[in-house]
Amino acid sequence: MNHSDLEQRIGAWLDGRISEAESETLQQELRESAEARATFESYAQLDAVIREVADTESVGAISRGSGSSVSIPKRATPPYARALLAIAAGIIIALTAVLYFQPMKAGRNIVRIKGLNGTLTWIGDGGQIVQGSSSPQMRTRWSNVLSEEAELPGGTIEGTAPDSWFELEFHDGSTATIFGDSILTFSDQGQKELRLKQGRFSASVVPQPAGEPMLIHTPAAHLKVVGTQFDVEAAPESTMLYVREGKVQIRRMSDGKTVDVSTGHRVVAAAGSEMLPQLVAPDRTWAQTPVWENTSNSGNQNLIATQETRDYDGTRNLLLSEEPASLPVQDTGYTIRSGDKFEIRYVWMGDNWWTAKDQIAIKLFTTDNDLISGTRTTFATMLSGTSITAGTYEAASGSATATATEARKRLFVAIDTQDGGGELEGVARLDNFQLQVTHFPEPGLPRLDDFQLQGIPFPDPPPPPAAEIIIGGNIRNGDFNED
Amino acid sequence: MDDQSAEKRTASNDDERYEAFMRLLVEHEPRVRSFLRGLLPTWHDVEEVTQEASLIAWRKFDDFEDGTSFGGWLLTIARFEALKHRRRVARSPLVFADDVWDLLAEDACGEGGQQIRRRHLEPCLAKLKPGQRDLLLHVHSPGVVMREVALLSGKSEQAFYKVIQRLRAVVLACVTKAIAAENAK
Repeated sequence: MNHSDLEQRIGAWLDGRISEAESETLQQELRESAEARATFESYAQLDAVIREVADTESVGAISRGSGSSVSIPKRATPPYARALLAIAAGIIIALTAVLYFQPMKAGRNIVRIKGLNGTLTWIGDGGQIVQGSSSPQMRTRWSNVLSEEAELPGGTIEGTAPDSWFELEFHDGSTATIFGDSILTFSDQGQKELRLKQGRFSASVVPQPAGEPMLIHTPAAHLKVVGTQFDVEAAPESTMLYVREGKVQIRRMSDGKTVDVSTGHRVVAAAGSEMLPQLVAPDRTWAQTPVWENTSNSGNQNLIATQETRDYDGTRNLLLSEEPASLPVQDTGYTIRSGDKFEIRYVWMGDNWWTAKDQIAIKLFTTDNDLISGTRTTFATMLSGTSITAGTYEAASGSATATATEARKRLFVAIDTQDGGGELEGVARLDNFQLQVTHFPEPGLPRLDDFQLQGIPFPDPPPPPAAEIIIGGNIRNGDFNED
Repeated sequence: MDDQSAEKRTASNDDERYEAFMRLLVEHEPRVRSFLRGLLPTWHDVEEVTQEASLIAWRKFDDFEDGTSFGGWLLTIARFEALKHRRRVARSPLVFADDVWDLLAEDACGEGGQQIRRRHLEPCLAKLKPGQRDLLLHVHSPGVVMREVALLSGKSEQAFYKVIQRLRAVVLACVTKAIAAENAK
């Protein structure tokens, strides 16, 4: 029994998100092991006590938002506890009021760093320049300034490496993340204002106060955000906006043309373009993707498999994640022959949180029973190599030859990732995957020349080896090569 | 003694009985919630069954024998109420099979295991970074749907759940250590 897996399953049960398969596994573990039951009971107790503490604290939080009287939770709270809660809530309300009515001071912290990677430069609003790195080897005297959980006043953050990323959170819970070589200035003087000079960022914005939408400026456009989730890519001459949820208003700088972009739409603001929002096809899950199957431990076929966003050629692409929850595998239906040469090619791109050392790993394998669920034996792993230019698609290829060990077994292919950065959160995209096989004579078996040498007639010589496509084009492509 | 005095005395006895019951309930209710959390699929179910068990305990308080364990008596009521409740809950991956449920209930009723209390938890929460503490409490707050918080977090759901699970593991290790130190005294 793997303790960490057990804990993950217990967490999933407590959170109410456990799958049927995970629940079966968990129940089997609980049946068989007193230790597993003790662990389960500990986590259940912990959950109950955390909720007890959270319940008490949330009383203050409820009154804080509305300014109204304290809401008593539904359960029958003992009288003495009510009194204590009322006192505690009163103190919180008083403190909140004091803080709320304090005049805003210049230089106050407005965001918290939720996460960061790679090398970054931060310029505070006092003109203070801070260079930081998430690498322990590159720690500077400013490491404590640019570190997770640190708070910052308004300023400019600049990613200075292709694999840099920086995630900030405003005090109202709105978040923004920049990726790669991007420059973002942020401020919050009662109204949030961001300026993306170049690069790419994603944001999730909680509903903003009436009349004070979040404002985002890029060289080519202005955006007005009330509360939504979206991605922006800014280049000197154009700005791409994709709205995942909600509505964003975008105004082109060159002529002032304004359009509203709603959920699932994308628009490019550039001089001379039509600036019409285009509907992006909805994401598809593994369950909606033919041929490929998510064979990760989670077995969750409802995770996103393909998307049209950040496409290579205008069609959908495969979304890959380093997280163990996702592992696409295809049963090719092909029976391996000894000497078969398998060649793969595809295009791929590192996306959010993908580090400079992460790679795509295409794995060819067989199983002990020729079923996708059988015990696997990988006979070839072909790595993409690390990304040359972050944020752009690049080609990758590889080849492998089957031996007698794999002969007469069914071929399975997995599109996996290989972590190099130490964090299993990276996302990559892959398109136009092709797998072909070329049959070569099995080593040791008689060849055409041998027959001729032995004087045996060979009237109908086989044709020279020809490649046969197993996956690619319209063949077993899983709707992400050409659809 | 006239009727009015007898009435007053009865009322006074009732008040005392109620106070005695409330004192015991306040002392043992957290243990009941912890016990039920491992048996019922959601916190809402735990709240419902705890309320039901408390009401039944109050109605049957006359049957409770002074000098015996109120906690054990209340847990027995809670266990039966949980069983009744469980029969009403639709089948789902969150509802365990009967044999697993019985094993968990037996183990949780036993006196052998550790009992996590609020006094163990609070110092451990204080050791987390403020943002981590707030996040952990937030996702366990009434009415908060963890999936929605995960979506708002900007991280993928799986990454978000992993962060929460890591925080739980850290806090549980700390709490277990605190209980061991307390028992060693």
